[in-house]
Amino acid sequence: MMALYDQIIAIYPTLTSADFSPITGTIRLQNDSDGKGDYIKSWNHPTLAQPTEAQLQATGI
Amino acid sequence: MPLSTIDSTGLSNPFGAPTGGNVMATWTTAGRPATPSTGQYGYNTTYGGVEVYNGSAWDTITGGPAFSAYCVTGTTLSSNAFTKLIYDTKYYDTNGCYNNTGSTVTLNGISTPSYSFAPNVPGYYLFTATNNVVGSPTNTVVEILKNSNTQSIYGSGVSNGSNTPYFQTAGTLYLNGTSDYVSANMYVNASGCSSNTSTVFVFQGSLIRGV
Repeated sequence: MMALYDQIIAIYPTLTSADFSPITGTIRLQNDSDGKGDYIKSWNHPTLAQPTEAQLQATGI
Repeated sequence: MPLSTIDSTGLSNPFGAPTGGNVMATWTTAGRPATPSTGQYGYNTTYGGVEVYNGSAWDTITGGPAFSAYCVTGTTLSSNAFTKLIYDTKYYDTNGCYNNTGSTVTLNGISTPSYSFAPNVPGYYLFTATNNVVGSPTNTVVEILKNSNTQSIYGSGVSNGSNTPYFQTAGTLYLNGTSDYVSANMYVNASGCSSNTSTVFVFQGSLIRGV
């Protein structure tokens, strides 16, 4: 299973690793090591909207 | 009653001559004196420590929680994400406040998420977390996180020359003793990374000051 990061990049190709970086990034992805996988913990990007679950699934990744 | 016994109000008996030590007043957290005086002290049997009333709250003097856990199971680190580190084996856990399982459990009446520490005594705690990355990320952070996203402490690391950086972070956090919890996460900006397994990679914490 591909990472949530790859699904988001497929939806928004302009995003880079820097957008997810601690302190300077505006998006935080989290995995709680509880078997439930990655999730979007916070999304504060100034222009791009947080993708919906449907959009993530539609990437086919 | 021995003359040297301190009564349930916390006041010492001035006529008592100690013969083997005075006995301090005891109570549970729920059964603390309803109208305590500043400076009144006693032994709290709920968590097993001595506490003194500072005029507005009960300040723990001894018996505060402390824990230390290390990694038997490695953590698969998600790409460009924070992943909670799996410290699944305890060295010690004085008050039964550390959850070393992969599921949320209730400890001392506190809902405690996986691999998290939820102390049952309020105060200021010192934490440290160490680990080692297997993989080749160019940006790595180990984080001590209070609750879901209340407060973080970030730590940096150094490479040993073979793309396996060692990381440590440490700092203090105030925890309320009734619902707050702390976990350790690691961020990497590359795929295919994991944390290492070793008895020397630890997540530790201890009460260093009461309220």
